[in-house]
Amino acid sequence: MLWYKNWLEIRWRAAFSVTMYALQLYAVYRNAGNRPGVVAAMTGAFAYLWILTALMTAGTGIKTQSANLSAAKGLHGSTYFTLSLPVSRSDLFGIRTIMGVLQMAVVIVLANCGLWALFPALHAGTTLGSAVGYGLAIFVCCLGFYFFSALLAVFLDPMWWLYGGLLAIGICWWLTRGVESGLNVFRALQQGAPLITHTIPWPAMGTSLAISLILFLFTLRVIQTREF
Amino acid sequence: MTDFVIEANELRKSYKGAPALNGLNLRVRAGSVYGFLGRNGAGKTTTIKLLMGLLRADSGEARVFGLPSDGATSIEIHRRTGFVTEDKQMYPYMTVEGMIRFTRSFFPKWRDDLAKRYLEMFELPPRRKTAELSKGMQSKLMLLLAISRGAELLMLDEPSDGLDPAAVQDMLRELMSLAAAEGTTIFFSSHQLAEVEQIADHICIIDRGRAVVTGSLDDLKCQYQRVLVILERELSVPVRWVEGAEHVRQEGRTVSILVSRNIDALLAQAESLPGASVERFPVTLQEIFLEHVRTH
Repeated sequence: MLWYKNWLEIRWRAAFSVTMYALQLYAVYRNAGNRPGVVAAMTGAFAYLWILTALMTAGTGIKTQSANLSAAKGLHGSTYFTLSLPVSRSDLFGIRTIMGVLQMAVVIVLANCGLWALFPALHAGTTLGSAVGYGLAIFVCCLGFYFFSALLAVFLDPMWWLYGGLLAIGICWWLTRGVESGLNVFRALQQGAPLITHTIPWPAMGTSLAISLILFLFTLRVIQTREF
Repeated sequence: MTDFVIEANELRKSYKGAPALNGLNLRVRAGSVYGFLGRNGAGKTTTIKLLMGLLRADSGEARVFGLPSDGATSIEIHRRTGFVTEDKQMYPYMTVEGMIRFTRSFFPKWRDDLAKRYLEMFELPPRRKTAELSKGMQSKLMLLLAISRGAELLMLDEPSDGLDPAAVQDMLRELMSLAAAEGTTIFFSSHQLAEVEQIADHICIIDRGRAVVTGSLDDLKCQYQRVLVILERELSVPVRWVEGAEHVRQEGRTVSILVSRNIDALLAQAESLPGASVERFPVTLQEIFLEHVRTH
């Protein structure tokens, strides 16, 4: 039933993400149409959406169950009810993570299918393999953002978690904008994307995986020991 | 194997340097109905959270069913305990029947018969989302979810909060029958002294993080008495009363004494005062409570 509970919590976020992509697809389609430059326009326009999806998907942790309550009142929402169930905190976080990551994967697949279907110009400029590689690269690169957001959600209330996450990632993006290294995750989502380079950005994906693992283990440790 | 379902030894807990528990000791026997009393901020909720393993003590030890309440064993404690939280908040996106189905899936000893009975008795609308329930309805649902777990121990933090008087009576009756028929241990915190007096067989009064009175309610009521002394004229020098005079209040010629022991010696002392008229009265739980939390 924890799976069901998690699904109920994230379903509107999934719907919101898909709607955002649909609107963005429509906007790119209107502006760039099927001209040859559509690939560059698309990867640029979509990069921030992938990151936003990762941030939003992860932000439903134990702490955010008090979303509709004022912290000043000392209320904790359903947090204590959840923590009093005979389930370990590791399992709670693990199931939440699997559901969130799956949701992110589904949204990315749907958005990429939409891209491929709507923009025949893509077929000329790239291969199906590159498109699949693009989807894979987005997914892996976004895992780092996902786990960063999951960590923030343990400490911050929903509003501050999203603003804080966006601000922190925005600063990182700005600081790394000129870095041409293959390790640059932001670059792998834009000009280094497989749709443009026709190569999988393994170094950036490796960086994201390493960051994800560290953040996952750190967040797990925090959840196991933190008092909510 | 210990007879105590709950044991706390010298529990200490502070929040940002402010002490919430200050060396609390507690023993709750299996099968008892234990009222945990205290003013706001006395440490009741902190104690319950520590016992449930939701918080960690700074020092001291808490055990439930003989198991340390923090760490991995807390899952076993949760499996055997029905818990009503202070906030009474559940998942706002789930319906009443959804919450029942969800909670049921974690407890192999879940009692469908009890869930059905309380659903009808509390008149809970099965299809309504919990966010749309009144505070009283949320309390009732929380109670249903705790009781139906088929738990050996019910840990209830202000269970009557938000309930109307009729619902409080229903709840107390059900708790009493549960304790009598199933041998369930009930540990509950409350401000409502009348309801504690109605069902508790043991109590603990906590003040500023310490237990100031503990024991069987009957024993405490026998032990504590009020002695009223009306003097011929006001005393110029205060009397040094014998040991056992817990609290003494003098207004003019009237002296009111709450006595916890040595009642006969104190009566003799009072009667020896010139022209004194002495009467003794039984005390209520409220009097015991107020005397202890006002002055400690």
